Parts: sequence; structure tokens; C-alpha cells
Amino acid sequence: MDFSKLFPGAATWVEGLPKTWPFVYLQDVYAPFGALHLVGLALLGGCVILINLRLLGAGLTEETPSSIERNLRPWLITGAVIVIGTGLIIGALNSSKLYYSPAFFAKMVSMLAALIFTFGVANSVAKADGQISNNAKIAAGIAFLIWLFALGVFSTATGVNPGVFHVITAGYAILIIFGSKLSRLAGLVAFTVLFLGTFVMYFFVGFDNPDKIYQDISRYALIAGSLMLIGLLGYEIFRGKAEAASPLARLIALFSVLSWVTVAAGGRWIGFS
Amino acid sequence: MFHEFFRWLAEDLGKSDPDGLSWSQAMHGSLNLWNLIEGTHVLAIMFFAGTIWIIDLRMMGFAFKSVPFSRLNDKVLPLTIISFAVMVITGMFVFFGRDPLLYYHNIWFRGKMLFLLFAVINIFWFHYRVQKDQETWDAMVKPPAKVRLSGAISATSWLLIIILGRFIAYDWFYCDKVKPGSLVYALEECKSALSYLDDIPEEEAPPDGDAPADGATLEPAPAEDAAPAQPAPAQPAPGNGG
Repeated sequence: MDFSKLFPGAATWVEGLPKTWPFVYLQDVYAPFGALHLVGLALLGGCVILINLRLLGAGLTEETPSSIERNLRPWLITGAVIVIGTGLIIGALNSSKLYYSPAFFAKMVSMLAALIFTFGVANSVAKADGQISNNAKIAAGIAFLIWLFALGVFSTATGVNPGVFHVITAGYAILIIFGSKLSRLAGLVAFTVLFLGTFVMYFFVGFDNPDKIYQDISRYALIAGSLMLIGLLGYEIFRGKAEAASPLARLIALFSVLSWVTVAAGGRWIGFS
Repeated sequence: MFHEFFRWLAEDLGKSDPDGLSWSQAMHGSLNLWNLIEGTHVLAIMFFAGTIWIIDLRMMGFAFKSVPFSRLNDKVLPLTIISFAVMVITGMFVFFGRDPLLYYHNIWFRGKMLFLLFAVINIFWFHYRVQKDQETWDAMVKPPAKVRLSGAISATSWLLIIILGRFIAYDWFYCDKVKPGSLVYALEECKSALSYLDDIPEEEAPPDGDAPADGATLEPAPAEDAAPAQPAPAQPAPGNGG
């Protein structure tokens, strides 16, 4: 799935986009916007991680979620403005490539979910120190479905789907940050096996080719790794933990981070596909 | 200076027979391995730079003003340190698995390493000097000048490290493009980078010849082109097994 299939009529507009105002003036200074895009990503990501880790019961546990939300709000918004502003510029200048890119499509869909999660749900949950309003519940449900769709597009697009590995990596990272000792250990072992396994298979066994059998082994290893991750995260989220919010608030926090990671991973794999 | 070492790393290490590939070349040619590691490196900046900037902002008196520095630092720093380890390890593999010589003779990479050194020196200065009397300024909304300075050095260094790191992918100053005798030529030690030309003319592709293969790495096109040129994502031939 990509935008050329969804909006086939837009081809002419897309191809002409780099020649339109103001992008036509920005072609020679393209590179700094690409670099600033990463700066915005880091700032936005840092704020998103700290707010949502708190809802998960980790990180700045001595502050209330509402205090963290209030302190980080200006920087979260600054990061979002930088990343979206520069993204519009580099996107418009690369419009023809992005139009046919499933990674970009997955990125945009996931961004919709991430924006709803961050600015429509997680911020209000943090402001209310973990209380979730009915509106927030509905918005979270919609955002979750949108994110699942993005993940589906991402993981079924040939050539791009290895990028889903980053989402799994981030899931394990979050588990290792906020989980109990046992889950941390299990997560660390599972991820090490997954990552080193990939490494060894590629490098020493010679899995580096598109033969079906190797592709299948990689796929099932990743699916097993994902299921293990879902199981461990589920256990941690539904296990009572004093300094954390309710299980639903923790799920919201988890998906807020993962949806942004999906946005970033999609972005990186536009270039690799 | 270290050209010969990195040439050995790139071309000889792990090479079992004369016609085979070195480990670096095998990784360079892999279908997804390098991409996965580089992607992890880039995505980890969310966990690393994002969190260290929040600490820096507190040191400069711009964020979490009502929260004592130590209360923020003690909780955030473990996260920052672990993600720093992830950045360094993945970064070393990114360096090794593309073409060590391409990075070694790259002006942006050299600048990035310089600011990395600044950032690390600043960490030691902060830890062993500035933090000595932490209890006197811990709760201050606006900490003393040395603390604000250390925060500013850190924030700026990491900002520049990200920007310079992104610029490595652009081939404006690759050794085969810069004028011999120019400042960049000297700073990149292009003389040793291009020394292979003296020994074995037209046998191998220049080490700096192939641009990093991610499509996002692109050189801005001349103005008359519609968009910045997207070089075909040069997916090198599978290195092994195939």
C-alpha cells in the first residue's frame, strides 16, 4: 500500500510539488533540513519517552505525571514543530519517491496515530495524573486501530518490512526500562538471542539471501520474538505496580511511544527500500 | 594517520581466502544487516539525545525549574547512559560495516568525533569539578554560571554531533571530489585516502566512490532538477551465502 495506489489522480500534483513555492527556493539548502529533522525527532522523542515512562511507572517517578507533562510541554511542542516543519520541506522535495513508498505510507498513518496518542490522549491522562476520560478512551481506541493498520502495512511491504525490527527493539527497550527484575532478564535474553541470532545468521551461516527458506526462518523468529514481547509487556502492564497508573493508562503510554518509533522507523526505511 | 589500520579493518580483517570478502565488505554487502544496525543507531537518538537535552535544559534553568537537579538527574541519567552505550556500540558497527575508510577520510565524521570528544571532556569536567558542590545549587531555579555553561556545552555538542553525523552521508567533500591542496583535502588526509591510485591503477573501485546506500542520503540536485537526486539505492551485491 502506498499513496500512489490510494490517490492515483494526484500524480501530476505530486511530481510538480518540488517546483512550487516555497519549496523551489529550498532545494539548494535541502541538507540542513534533513539534519534538523533528526534534531526535532530527538527532542520530541525524549519528551514522549519521559512522559510515557512515568505513566508506565518508570523514569521520573518522584514527580507526578501532571508535573512532568507541564514541564515538558513547551519542549514537546517545539520538537513536534521542528520535526513536522522540516518533514514537510524534505517531503515536498522528495515527493515523487514518497508517493510510491510503502514505508512513507506506513509512516504517515502511524504519525496520525502518534499525534492522537500524544496530543489527544497521553497528555490528558498525564494532566489528570492517570485518570482517563471517556473521550480519551475513545480517542485511544481509534489511535490504536490506526497504529495497527500502519504496522500491518509496514510489516507486509516487501523490502521495507525489516524496519519493523526497530519497533520490536523499542518494545524490548521499554520492557527492560520499566519491567520487574524477572521480565527484564527474560526480555534481555530474548532480545539478545533475537539480535545476535540475526547477526550470526547473516554473517556466519550465510542467511544473507532472498531464498524462501531463510526468509521464512527470519520471519518466524521475529514473530516468536514479538509474541514473547507482547506476553512480557502484557504481564508487566496488568500486574499491579504502586507508582504506575492503571493498566489502560499504561497501555496508552506504551502505544504512544511505539507509534512514534514506527513513524521514525518508517522514515528511515524510506531510504533503505 | 591511521589510514593503514582502517584499510586493514576494511579490506583484510576476516578475509579467509584471497578472492573472499573481509568482514567489513561482507557486512557492507549484506541485504539488511547494516541497515538494521544503522536504523537502530539513528532511532536511539530519541532515547539518548532527547533525554540528555532535558537534563541540559534543567542545568541551564529552562525546564523542570521547580524540581531539584539531582531528583531529575538520578532518574533520567541511567536511561541516558544505557542508550549512550547502545549508540556507541551500534555506531561502531555502522562505521565498520560500511567502509571504515569512507568515514575516516570524511570531514563531517572527523568533526563529529571532535565534538564527541568535547562532549566527553565536558562530562568529566561536570562530574569531577562542577558537581562537587552540587548541594549548594541543586534546588536553584537558575544554577550558577559554570553549571549553565556545562549544560550549554553538552546540549550544543550533541546537537552538532547529530547534524554532522547526518552530513556524513552527503558526498560533497569526498576525497575524489575535493581539490588537491585545499584545506578540506588536508583535513581529510586525502593524500593517503587516494594513495591506492599510485600503487594499483584502475583495479578496484575507489574506496570513497560508492555513496552510502540509503536513499535518504542524497546529494542536492542542481537547481534545474525537479527534486534532489535520489541515487538508486545502491544495494550492493549480496556478500555471502548467495
